[in-house]
Amino acid sequence: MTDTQAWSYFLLTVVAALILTVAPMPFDVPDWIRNLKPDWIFLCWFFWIVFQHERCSLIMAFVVGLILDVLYDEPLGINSLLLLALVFAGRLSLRFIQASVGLRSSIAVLILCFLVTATKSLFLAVTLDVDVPVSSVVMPPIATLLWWVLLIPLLNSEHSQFRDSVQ
Amino acid sequence: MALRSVQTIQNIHLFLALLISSTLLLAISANTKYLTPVETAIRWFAQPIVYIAQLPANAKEAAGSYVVSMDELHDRNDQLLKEVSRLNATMADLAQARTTIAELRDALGYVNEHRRNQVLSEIVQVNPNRQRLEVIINVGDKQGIEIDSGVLDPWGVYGRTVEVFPNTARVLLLNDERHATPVLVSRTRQYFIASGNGPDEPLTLDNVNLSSDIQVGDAVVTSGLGGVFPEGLVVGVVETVTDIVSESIKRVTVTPSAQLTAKSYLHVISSAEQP
Repeated sequence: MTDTQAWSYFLLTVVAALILTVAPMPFDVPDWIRNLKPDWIFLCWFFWIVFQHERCSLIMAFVVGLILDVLYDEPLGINSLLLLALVFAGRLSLRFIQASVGLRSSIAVLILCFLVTATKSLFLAVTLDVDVPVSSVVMPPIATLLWWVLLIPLLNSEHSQFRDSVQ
Repeated sequence: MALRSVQTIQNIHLFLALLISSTLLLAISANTKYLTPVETAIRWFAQPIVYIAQLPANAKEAAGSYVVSMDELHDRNDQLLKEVSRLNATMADLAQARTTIAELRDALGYVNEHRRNQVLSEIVQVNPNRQRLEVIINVGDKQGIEIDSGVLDPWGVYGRTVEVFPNTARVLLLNDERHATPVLVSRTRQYFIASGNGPDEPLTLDNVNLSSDIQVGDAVVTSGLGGVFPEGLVVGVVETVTDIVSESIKRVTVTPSAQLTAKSYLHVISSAEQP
């Protein structure tokens, strides 16, 4: 994979994640199914941090975060802050993941996604004075984990910098 | 070694600068409106993403409206003819009622109310954030829509516009926690404020005294105060009335008449006077 191709794939997946994030669910879908929607941006970003960390530049995280703020109609900066924190925490977690990519990366996804979701929910609950149901904090990390399991085989592909670093 | 380099944030200054910028943006946007133009600019940039995300739902809807069997079309046609007949009868009654009201107003010396235009619109986007009950509709500034225009669906009050763009507008739903509507109870003509309580929750009437005469089943309509909605539009029906003696108030919940979770055509009350 050339550098240009890698950048193209990265940008395509980020745009796809943004589209999936705002794609509407039918009006009559029950809340429990609605909450099973994974955090597509987290999934995409964490995958690229592990797969080819250099794609996930800090400026990119900042810009995508701002777009996400507007798409979600949340205070400007909240998603940028969380994405920057994710880049930082994701890179730190690489050493932890190294020993057992399947199990440990899943644990990292579950914990980090929960922290991101919980932090955002807590912030919105405090600043906007809205009730955030527990299910909307707990279910997205679980749904994200289920999708992450499908991505694990890609981490061992020949294009993965993660695999190179382990070797 | 490679892993160690991966684990280090290579540009710590940039990281800190962006972290501080995000925090500053957050502090400003959470407490002031200074960043609204920036948000509007980013929203323009992000519009294609929203458009693409809506394509499957729009395609499904379009396919649903074009691919139907002949029998289904006949059934629909029959239903529509019956509906037209029923509506014609209702219109005749309404015309009679309007004449009576006009006569009564004349007799009582009321000044005629300004009649307002209603602009038909369609929902083009639903806010994916479940804590923000908002939709985007396909009419905006160019169609005469302004901020704080009332929005109705075929069943009652739906919400009000909170942001207007050239061809679209953002509508805050009636049951959003930030929405409050001046209302009156039709039977007693007592004034209240109906507040939203979030998704799937009924509205509540604020500060209802224990002595207030409110019964389950009472119709709640707009009071005309506040200037967003004219008087008399259906808001909902009183669902429960509970005395809270310790606080000397009644807790009154109202089921909204509008179908807030259904996709339907919406009418936006335009400030432009009807010719």
